[in-house]
Amino acid sequence: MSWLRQLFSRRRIYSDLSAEIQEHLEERIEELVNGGMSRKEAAAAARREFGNVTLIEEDSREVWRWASLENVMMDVRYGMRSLRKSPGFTAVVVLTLALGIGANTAIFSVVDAVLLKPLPFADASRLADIGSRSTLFDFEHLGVSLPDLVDIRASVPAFAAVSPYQSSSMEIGGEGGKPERVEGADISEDYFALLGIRPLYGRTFTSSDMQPGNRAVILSHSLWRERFGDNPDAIGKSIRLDGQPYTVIGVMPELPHTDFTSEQLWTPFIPTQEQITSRQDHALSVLARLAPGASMEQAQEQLNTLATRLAGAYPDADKGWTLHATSLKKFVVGYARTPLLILFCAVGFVLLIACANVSNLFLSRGWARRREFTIRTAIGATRGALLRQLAVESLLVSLLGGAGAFLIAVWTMRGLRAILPPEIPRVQDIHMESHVAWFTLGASLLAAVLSGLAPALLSSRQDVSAAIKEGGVGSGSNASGKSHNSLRQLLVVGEMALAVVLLIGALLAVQSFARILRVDPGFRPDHLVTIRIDFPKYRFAEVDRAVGFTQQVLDSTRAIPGVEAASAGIVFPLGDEVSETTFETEQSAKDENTSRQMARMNVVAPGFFHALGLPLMAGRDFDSDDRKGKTPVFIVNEMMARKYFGTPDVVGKRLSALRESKKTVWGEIVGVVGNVHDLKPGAEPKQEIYGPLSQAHFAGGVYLVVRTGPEPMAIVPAIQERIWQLDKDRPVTSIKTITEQIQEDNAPARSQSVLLGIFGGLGLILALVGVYGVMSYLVSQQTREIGIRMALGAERAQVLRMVIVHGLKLTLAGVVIGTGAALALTRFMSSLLSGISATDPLTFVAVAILLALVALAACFVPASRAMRVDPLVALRYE
Amino acid sequence: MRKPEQRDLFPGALEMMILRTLKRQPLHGYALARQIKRASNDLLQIEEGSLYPALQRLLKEELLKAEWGISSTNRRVRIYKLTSAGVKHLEREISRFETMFEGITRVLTPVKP
Repeated sequence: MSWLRQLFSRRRIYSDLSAEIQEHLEERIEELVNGGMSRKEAAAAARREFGNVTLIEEDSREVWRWASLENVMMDVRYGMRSLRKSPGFTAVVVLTLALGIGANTAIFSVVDAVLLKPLPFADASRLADIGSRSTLFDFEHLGVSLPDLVDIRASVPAFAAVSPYQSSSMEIGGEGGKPERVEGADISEDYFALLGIRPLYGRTFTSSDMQPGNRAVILSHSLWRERFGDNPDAIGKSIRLDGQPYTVIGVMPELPHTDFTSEQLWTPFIPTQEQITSRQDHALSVLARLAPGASMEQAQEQLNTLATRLAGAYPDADKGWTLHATSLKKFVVGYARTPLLILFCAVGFVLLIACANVSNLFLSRGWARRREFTIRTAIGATRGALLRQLAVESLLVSLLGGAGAFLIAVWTMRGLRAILPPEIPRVQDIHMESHVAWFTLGASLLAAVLSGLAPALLSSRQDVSAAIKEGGVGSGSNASGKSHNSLRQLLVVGEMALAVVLLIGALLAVQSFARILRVDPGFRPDHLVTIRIDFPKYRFAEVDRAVGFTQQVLDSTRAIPGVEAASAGIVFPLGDEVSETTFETEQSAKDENTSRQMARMNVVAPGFFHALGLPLMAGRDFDSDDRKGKTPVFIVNEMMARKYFGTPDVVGKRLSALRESKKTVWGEIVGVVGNVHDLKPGAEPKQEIYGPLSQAHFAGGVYLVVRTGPEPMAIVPAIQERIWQLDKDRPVTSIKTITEQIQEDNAPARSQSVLLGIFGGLGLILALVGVYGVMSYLVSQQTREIGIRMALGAERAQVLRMVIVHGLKLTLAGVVIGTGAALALTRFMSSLLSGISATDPLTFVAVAILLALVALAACFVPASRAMRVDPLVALRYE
Repeated sequence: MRKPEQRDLFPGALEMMILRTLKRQPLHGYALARQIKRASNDLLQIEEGSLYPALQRLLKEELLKAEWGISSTNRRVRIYKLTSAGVKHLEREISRFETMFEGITRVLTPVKP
């Protein structure tokens, strides 16, 4: 253990060594003095013979060290001391880096939780969703019919398992409590096995559960908690669903928060006769697992071949339809990818700007410390040692910044979660995890390299004699001063360019959001509340019962004080649900060549347009006389009238629409209403057909639309009370004001514009601080030059102009580069922008001018300082 | 880390000279430096100071030991002595050096026709 002994005795070794060297010198001096030299001469001679005392002592000590580690420790101690000595510098650098890294940490924690973390399923990368698209419908993702699914099983060997499921919605009996509606899914027996999730208690479905009439149910963790209070005895208990007793056979563990895993309960998927036979029913969701060795691309190719074959064999059902395999992860979180990556880019830019600023500060500090470096070089420090010292210092501040960043990220996490739209999958699952800590460390190290490397290389390049001669008062005229300055200017150009890109991105997002807010929906969205009532088949076998019930609810709701108008429709404008129909006009019916035409379809009670505030342009509203057995009647919107009849004057014309019974019926247009505009700026309104609820053939449920005088939510309890008076078991769900609905729809645009706005602002401020700092520095360096110019008769205005022109040149270079980069980059945002082009010239020009102006202002302060330079003082000062 | 020519003629030479000198008699640093200079007829122009890192290395490897004492000129000095390990090391080094020297001489001696 001699190294251990050495470690503890080292202090003594060192003092022995110093004493010994001193004695050596003394002895030599004495000898020389005895030989007749003066003491002063003798001391010099002794030192010359001995060599570099400090260096030799240092080398001798080094023998006893674990060399590199201890050198670094010494550098760390020295670095800390020198950082403590300049608290202002340290504070600014650490704060700048903390902001830059903190923004990255915060966004990374989101990216990690939402995009990077694998789905918590066994071998999740081999899972896929199979969906379809049709040339007929404007939907990204449609389902698959059961006969087509059977063909997929037979002719796509790339899939080892193909499992159909469908979402369901059931009423859960309120034992003493209020009736509720829960969302669930009908699943095949292999569903959970495919996902690799085992039940927390009980079991999953087996083939014996897949018989018609089976009433087994698996509960989600949250529903089990709510209904059974964490009690494992739930297994085997009975609960009432849609009025029937179901037996709980399993409870699943907690699953992440995504659309895909939001089900509250699962029941066996037992296909109806129609599902088994009808290829037209493109409605089932499909979960699949790739066969061993097969790739998603192979699966897609095989699906393409199959889709072509199906389209040929069954043109009625499958012509124009394509099948698509998507990895389950992309299916679940894919849509959050682009917005998050854009945010990640933005914070990356912020960090780069922060690094540029810190780099500038290091440069100035290195320049100010030339004296110190020169002395260290003179007493034997190599360039490597200086570099190591500087590297350690920039590492220290970066790590401090990283620690600050982590705190900032932790503190802003709550706010960030509030800003992010709730639809982003797994957004509730964001935590500060070890991943995030590692990322912060990595970002800190990167920041250290980015901000510290170039200044360290420059500052450690020492020209000893020049620096000593100069005596530390810089005119920046030597070579190293010049490269310092050109690096500085390069940094200014760079950060300006980055700020331009950031600001253009932010401004585009903000404008897009502002345009969405300015969209006039075509009706009065305030003081409107929508309430969902479902009409499950077990209670409302005939549609007339549902219609009658709706009528009763509307009558009693209208009687509530504060209710100004009440009506109902199977969907409502700006709602999440959209219903579409094919239709024919008399003209299109005659023309064989017209392809099938689609329009939005709503089935509404009388007074719907009045309640919404949607103007009736011509004709009449539906009334209680529009009953079954009479001529079907329609109301169309203005868009429909103009587009398909060429005139707003369409009352009395004939129209046929595919009604819910799937039978085409010809009817008469009795009215024209105004257009409803979706919240997409610049988008053309959709053509729309309305039919009367009293002539409907099917109604699975309706939305009540209630306009109130006072705050709508205050009236809701009274409405619920009326509904429960009529049917105490009717769940009342999806209670939402239209204003809330609009806010929800706008949430992604809002969060995008708020976050990009914050980061853009941060980038702008940092870049301005950078420009200001560099310009001030350059002016202070040019004091002598300015003094001479003024002594030679330069006007103050000329000096001012000189400094400002210099600053402007740098800024403009940055603005030009930044604008070019933005042109290349903003197109990646285009899918997130509505109503504004990703290369909107006005935005680009505005940002360029704005940045040039603020940079001008940032130059003005140092410039006016330069203008006040007193030539006498400036010259003497040198 | 440092330029090698500052330290040594060839690796180990200085150490060998120190050990050889100290084998004859224990000495303190200054005397040792003088002794080596004189013995090499001032041919080896080494800085006196460069002795000290070498001494530290030998101390660390426990080939030498050092004790504070009083010199003949009545100074407080640190006197270095060879340890038994040091003696063995010196023998080994000398024989190695001789082998090497022999090799070099053979190469340098012109071959007779």
